[in-house]
Amino acid sequence: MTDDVRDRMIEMLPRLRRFAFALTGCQDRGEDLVQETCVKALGRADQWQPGTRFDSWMFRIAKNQWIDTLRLGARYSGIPLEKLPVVDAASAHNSAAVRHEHHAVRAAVNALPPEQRAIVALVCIDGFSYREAAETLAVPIGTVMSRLARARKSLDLSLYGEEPASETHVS
Amino acid sequence: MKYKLSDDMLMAYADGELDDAEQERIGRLIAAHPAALARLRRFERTGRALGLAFEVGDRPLPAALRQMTPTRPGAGTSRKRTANALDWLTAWPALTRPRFAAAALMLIAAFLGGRIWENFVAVPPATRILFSETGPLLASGALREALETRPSPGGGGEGAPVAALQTFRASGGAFCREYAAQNEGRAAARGVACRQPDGEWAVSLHIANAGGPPSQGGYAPAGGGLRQTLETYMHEIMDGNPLTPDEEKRAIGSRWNSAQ
Repeated sequence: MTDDVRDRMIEMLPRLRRFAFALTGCQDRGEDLVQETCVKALGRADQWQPGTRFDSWMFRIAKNQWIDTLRLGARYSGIPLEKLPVVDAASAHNSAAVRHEHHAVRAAVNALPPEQRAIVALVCIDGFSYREAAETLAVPIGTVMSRLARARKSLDLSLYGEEPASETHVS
Repeated sequence: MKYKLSDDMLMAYADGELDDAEQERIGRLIAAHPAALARLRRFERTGRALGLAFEVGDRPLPAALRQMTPTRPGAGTSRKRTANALDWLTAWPALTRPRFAAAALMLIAAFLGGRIWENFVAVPPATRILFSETGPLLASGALREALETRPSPGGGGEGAPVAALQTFRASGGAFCREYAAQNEGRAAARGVACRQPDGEWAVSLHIANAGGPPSQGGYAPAGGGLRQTLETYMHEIMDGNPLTPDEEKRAIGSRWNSAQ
């Protein structure tokens, strides 16, 4: 069982790293979170039931681990945004403008409340459906939708300025 | 009857979360209301930016993690395959979900060019919409006509089996268009083509199977990761914002004169 979990874990590492990066807002701290998540997952490998979603299980562990860490000592908070290292993940051909935009996006995500950040990471970055995200985070699907809508509006506003009308009257 | 088209509804539409009938209905409404379309495009733009900002790229795995995931003695070939897959997946983060492996093949086919392409596209010659001998893939037939002459949804182009979805400028100044093509009720193809100085439309990315058939008028978004792949690609090559319906109309009217 542990071997099976380990194999699956290796397969989903790229997604887990991206998820942790989005949650923590920093690549180095994201790697710490990935490591903590993997340790936990291996430690409780017998709790994962074959036939259920392995990725949801891992994301749930990561998200809970991160929330625990936030509660414990705010190790991942309290660092001013401007002090966060600008880690550019994309390859060297990216222009300075693109790097700047990536940094702005990460800062905007970092400013979201933790619960909204987790949903953005699952739905917008990993492509989970609303239902999959709801099951992963153990919240009702309506909660996923409302948090996602709030998060997107905040992101849209901080990235591109003036708020669009929130609804259109159509006939 | 008047009612409100809320942001929640637009987002659910963009995420492909509505049932077929609702997807189709909302798609038609969006296509008919430029303000709603503009808001949808904003959300899509934010989505594209999000998809790119957190890629870990080819950053090496931290040593501690490597030690936690060691090679198992005796796991020989299957372990090797996993390791290779991991390298590949790290290099192509947008394609990391297994069900997108087929899409990855399609993308590679498009990048490699026509000869391999032929093996993947099972369309009778009469309805073929892509053409290539040895050079770049060029749009032909209905696709070429749609790209050259038809406005995107919102500008009157909705409902056709082959349609341009939006228009933008690539960083070199060329006009590019995202398109969808329905293949006799089967899953829709989606892609991006850019106009060349000689008047041809060169297909730079084509996903042969981009999810369910497009809903009439609205075009269902490609499934999660495919959409991300497509949008990541467009984000990479796009300069500025997509053209407004008016700008697009002028571009079509000028026969895509990029100096206008």
